[in-house]
Amino acid sequence: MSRTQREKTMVLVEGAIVIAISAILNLIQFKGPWAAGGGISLEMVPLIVYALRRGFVWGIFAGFIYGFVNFIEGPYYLNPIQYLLDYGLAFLLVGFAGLIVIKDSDSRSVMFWKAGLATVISMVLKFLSHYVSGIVFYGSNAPAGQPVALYSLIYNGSYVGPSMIFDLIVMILLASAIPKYLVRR
Amino acid sequence: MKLIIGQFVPGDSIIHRMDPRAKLITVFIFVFIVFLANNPWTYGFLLAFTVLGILVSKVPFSFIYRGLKPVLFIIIFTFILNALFTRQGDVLISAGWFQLTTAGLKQAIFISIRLLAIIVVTTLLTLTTSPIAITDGLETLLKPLKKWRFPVHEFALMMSIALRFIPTLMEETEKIMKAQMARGVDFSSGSLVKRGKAIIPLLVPLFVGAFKRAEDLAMAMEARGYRGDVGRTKFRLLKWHGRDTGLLSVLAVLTAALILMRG
Repeated sequence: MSRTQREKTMVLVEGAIVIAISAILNLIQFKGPWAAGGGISLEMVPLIVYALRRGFVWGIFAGFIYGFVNFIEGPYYLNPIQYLLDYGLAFLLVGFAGLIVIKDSDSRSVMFWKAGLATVISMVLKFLSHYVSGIVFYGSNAPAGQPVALYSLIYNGSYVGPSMIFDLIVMILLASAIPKYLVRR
Repeated sequence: MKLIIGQFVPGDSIIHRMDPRAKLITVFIFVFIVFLANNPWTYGFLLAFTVLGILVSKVPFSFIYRGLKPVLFIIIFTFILNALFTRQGDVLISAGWFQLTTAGLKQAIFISIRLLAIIVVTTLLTLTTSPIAITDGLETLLKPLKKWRFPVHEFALMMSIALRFIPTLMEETEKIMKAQMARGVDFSSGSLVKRGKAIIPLLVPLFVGAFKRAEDLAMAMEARGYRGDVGRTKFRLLKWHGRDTGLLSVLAVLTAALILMRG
């Protein structure tokens, strides 16, 4: 087996296990006053960690696959565009966290900033895809003239906002607990 | 805390035994053709197809309800929205700004049927098809994308490994959680910062264990001669039966009926 194939197998398997962790964390829902559409969970954290470790392309690929796994766990399918946005794009965009590269030589505070930035990037993009999805959904299912953008903002903001803060806290704590696992390989 | 993964309910109905490819194609086409419906007849067809699916699958209704629960809020909200803000047709009830018209009620019922049909049919797919079968089906159906260099094999492999490891890692998660709870960690109360701090002792062993496991698994695959998808054969083979053609025929009839009867 060539070195590159071995490396690739390793990255692939790691991605698969990270996806499994995300699926499990998704089941541990934290209930709270923010939960209009269910609780919030840490499902994005493993995907962000993976994107940081393995970069943009693998990050996107893992997010894409997690979308399918998440769908099998409990489909939430309203129309084809909503599916693409909520299951495809929302998770796939986590790969953009992989544009941030944490190096071994980074100081602790730089690592915190980078881990935080990666989290914010992926969560903002996730929010945007859910937000647009909400507009598309109510655009085709609500009578004309309704403030659909506002509905979508309230519904999606009510859980993506707290999720982002929670993910941010956890990512920074992780960067302090196991910094070498976030470093780009 | 209740941890249930996946929705698959093993069974022996004809829908359970159908080829995952046939079911995937059906769901994929169904979610498009529902938008053809626009009068009582066509919505009736959609409803009939959905109810027939539930009955033939022999899946207990409680499971279908469980799949519906997370979207019930959206369906009810959409129903109310349509009922209240459609201002055509005869007025049924009127009180101040509140007004329910015949057209509004009709619209609300139609859209609820459309949403219910879509959700129930997709839920039926995951209720009657094991995750691995869905992955196998997806792999075959996505194969044409290989031409555009989409890594179909890697996609299917990653998904199967992920699905295979969910139960294993779940056990590990529960074990770690119990161990931490025995030490007094409280996962379910306090501010976000406090809960974040509480979950770190769970995440760290989970991550470290996972990356170690990935290394072992990659080595085990290498030792068994894994070389990507070149010349790879399959353990689980998909077989297309008459019932699968039957399902697609029913779908074709439904599509034709929707096109012919729509107003």
